Amino acid sequence: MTDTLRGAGLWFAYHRDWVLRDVSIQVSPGEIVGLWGPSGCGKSTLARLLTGRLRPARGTVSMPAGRGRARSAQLVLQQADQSVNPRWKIGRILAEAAPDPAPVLDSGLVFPDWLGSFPHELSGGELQRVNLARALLCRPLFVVADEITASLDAITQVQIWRIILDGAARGDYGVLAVSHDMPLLDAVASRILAMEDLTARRGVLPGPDVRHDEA
Amino acid sequence: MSAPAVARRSLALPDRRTRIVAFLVLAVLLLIGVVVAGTVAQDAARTTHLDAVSQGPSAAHWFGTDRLGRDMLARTLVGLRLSLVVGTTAALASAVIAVVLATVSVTVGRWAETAVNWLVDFFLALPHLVLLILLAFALGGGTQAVIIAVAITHWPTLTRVLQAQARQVVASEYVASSRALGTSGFALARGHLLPHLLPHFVVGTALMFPHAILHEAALSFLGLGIDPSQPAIGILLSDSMKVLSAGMWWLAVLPGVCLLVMVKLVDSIGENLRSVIDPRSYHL
Repeated sequence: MTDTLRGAGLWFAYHRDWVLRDVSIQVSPGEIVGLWGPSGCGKSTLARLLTGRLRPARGTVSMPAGRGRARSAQLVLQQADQSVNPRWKIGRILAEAAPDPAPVLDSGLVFPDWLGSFPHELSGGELQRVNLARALLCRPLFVVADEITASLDAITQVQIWRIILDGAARGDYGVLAVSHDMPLLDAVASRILAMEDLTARRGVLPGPDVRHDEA
Repeated sequence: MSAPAVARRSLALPDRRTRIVAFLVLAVLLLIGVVVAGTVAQDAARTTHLDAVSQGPSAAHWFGTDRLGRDMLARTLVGLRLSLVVGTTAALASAVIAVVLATVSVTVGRWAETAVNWLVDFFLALPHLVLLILLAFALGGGTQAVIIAVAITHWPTLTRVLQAQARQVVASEYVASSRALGTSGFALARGHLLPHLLPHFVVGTALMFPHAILHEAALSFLGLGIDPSQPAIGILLSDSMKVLSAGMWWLAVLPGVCLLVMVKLVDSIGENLRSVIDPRSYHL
């Protein structure tokens, strides 16, 4: 079993359009990799493939064995409100990952008085902290963060990324930060990959690459 | 809060939700009243008064008497109670079948979904009443047979509704997150799916109830249902047919109207319950 998170020769199509054509990517343990690309280029699809939420049409994803029942690569999405059951209190949401929420309370990611609240009683930034906390509580080896701070204010952005980077600096996990925001990736990642460079068969893409101009 | 504010508040009309809840409480109390009255009237429904045979409505017998001088009000109340018992049991059993099938169809796998869809289509394609009659006949008649027959024939539409709801939950991001955390299929169904289906289950049961009552009456009317010695509404109506041409209208009209009113009452309980629990109305 490998200890890196790796996708090799991944192909994926929604309906009949190929979104990913022969894409390969690798994240080493403890490494913080930025994945950059314009909207609609397949970043989120790749993030879902790497965390086992989608299956590639062709190609393989290899993920190290997890520490428990949970997958070793955890996906955190931008839409925190959709990522949690609206009928569950925060305490129960966190308990799904680990019985004891102490680690995320100690790191200041989640505050104890949220535990008895419902998701709609928290703000967007607070809920995103809960969403991230749940992923961290199951002690993943990789955190795939898909635009997790894109809809948050600058201060919350900094707070959330500081906590993620602290954990990565301790060697707890590797991070794949997915974003269209180059300055953010510059600030957090040690290596930045552009989506278009991951695609081996560029010749297969139809016509001139329009998305290149958009960026 | 200051005193004038309290006064103004108590003068204002209660909002829609409060009115609906008040109606629901009253309607349920009325149904409980029918059950209690039906239980109390058991003896009166069987006592014959040969000095007062086939009489029209009067102060002594509000609903008149039948050809054995039995009080029709008492018989109607006992019949309504029986209908309620049969209706509740059959509707609940049917709704439980629907929840189980809907849950299985979205959690077990593609083949389970195909199987459930096929089963729903099969039961929807068969004529309702024919199937009911065949089932009641095959099960040998009687109260139990009516309950089973109604339960077996009424789950398909609710299954469809619950399936749609269940699919939505299963496709949600929070279920995907939960799976990634290693939650088992059973825990997913119990923690995420069933609590979401519960309100639809309650409303579905309430709306299935009137169907169950009417079909019980229909089966009993046709002689395939409840034991003829019991004063079920269907049997009262069936008996009244024989003497309707003699002008004894009260034997048919009064129990029939009572059944109709009760069905309408239960139906509006279901509708109102739906508007309280699930404001985005759906078709059943």
